[in-house]
Amino acid sequence: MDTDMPDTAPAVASADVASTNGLRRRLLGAGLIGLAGSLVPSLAARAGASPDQATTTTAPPKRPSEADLELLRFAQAAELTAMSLYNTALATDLGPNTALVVARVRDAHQAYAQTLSAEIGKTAPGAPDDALLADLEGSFGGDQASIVAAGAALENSLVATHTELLGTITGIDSAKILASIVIAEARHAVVLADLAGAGGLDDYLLNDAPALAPAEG
Amino acid sequence: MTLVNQLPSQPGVDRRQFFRLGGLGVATVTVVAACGGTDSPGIARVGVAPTTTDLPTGTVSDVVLLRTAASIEFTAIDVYNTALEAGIVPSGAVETVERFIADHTAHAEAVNALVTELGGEPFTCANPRLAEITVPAILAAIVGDEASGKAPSDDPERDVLNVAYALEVYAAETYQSFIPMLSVPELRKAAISIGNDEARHSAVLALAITGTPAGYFEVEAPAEPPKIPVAYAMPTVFGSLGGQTIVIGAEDEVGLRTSVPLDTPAANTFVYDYQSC
Repeated sequence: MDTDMPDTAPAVASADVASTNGLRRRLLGAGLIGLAGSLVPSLAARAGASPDQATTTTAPPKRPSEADLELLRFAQAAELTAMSLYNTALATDLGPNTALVVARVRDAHQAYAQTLSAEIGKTAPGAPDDALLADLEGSFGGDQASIVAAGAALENSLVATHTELLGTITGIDSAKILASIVIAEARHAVVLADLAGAGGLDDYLLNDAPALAPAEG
Repeated sequence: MTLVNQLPSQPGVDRRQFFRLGGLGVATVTVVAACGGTDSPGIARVGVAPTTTDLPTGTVSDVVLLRTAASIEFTAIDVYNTALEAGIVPSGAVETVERFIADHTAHAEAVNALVTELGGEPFTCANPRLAEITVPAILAAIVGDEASGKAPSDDPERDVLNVAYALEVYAAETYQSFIPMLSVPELRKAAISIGNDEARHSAVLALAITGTPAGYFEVEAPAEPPKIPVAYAMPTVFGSLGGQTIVIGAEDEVGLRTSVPLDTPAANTFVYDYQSC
């Protein structure tokens, strides 16, 4: 075991779930039911549709709309912010294993930004969100334990952010990109939580991080 | 000399004319038969054919996709429960498996609530195709199958965890693959919220199976591909839709284990409106 690694046993072996887990799990379940319930108004008009009617609906657009592009620009800036933050982390004295993980995650965010850039076209910002960068940069320049904890929190925030965007964006191509990013960033969050010394399953599985929001104006 | 050649020549109908007349007769009968009326609209058959029944028409809609998702949640629940009842879940993973069962149950309820809101019938059992083909193959490889001469696994606990990992990756792939097929953004958001949970499940299992830090991701491709695929928490840069192959069970006489393909759901795995538990 490398000395830079926090003491993290394999997930199942260390699964001493806290006493509040039952409540948290019920809340998670309730959240999912609530999510379903929140869709009732928007789906109510579709509720009575017969199978024949369903086949005549208009296919969703493939290309992003102008409104989609605005959100995608925000998503790309968020990804470039993440890349920049991990670069800050890599400039510190991380141990070899942690540095390897952080570099891999940094490269992934760069790949996401590039893919979003291709989707957006010439109006892609190509730069981090300055306000977000200034807000978070301090957390990525400290000691190793705080950096991996900040990384896990950032990945959870990005998952929440892209999930919110998927609830708004209409273009199918953009939705496919965001979905594949969400799946990968959820996995980043688990690995970084492990490096941060996750103590129970909730530390790996629950995501109560708020979504990032585009700056107004 | 043949008998025909021995026939006396008759005026008007010689041997060549005889064959011509015969051919003309056959052609005439064929034309008449083809032009005649028929009671059957189908292709002409020889003998008596039974009346065929058309297969039901399956239209892929939001309801079908969500019912499919619910069926995959129930497949995972069934597999986990079967493994727990068989006592082949490693003791250190029992709590994790119980947690995952609870999560999949919550997912199934949420997805079926959406099905109901859309006017569909909730689907509350395992995916029919997986239950018919994939799961029996997995169970036979782990516990053995006397009928086919398949020996029980040399390490059922290893196999159960690898199957669990594959199922969780499969579930995440399912929700991700449905994103471009779902018709409205609200449903896409709901689907990826659950896909995110499944991806986390798979990552947690990868850490349990492969350990840390080796289970984080593949640092360098091995010279020889491993006989049993290695579970990684971050297997790819983007969420993949490539499907996977589960390799489980005892080695056979040539050193091969059972391979069970698990491809991202397609038309043959969807749970259509006309299907029920």
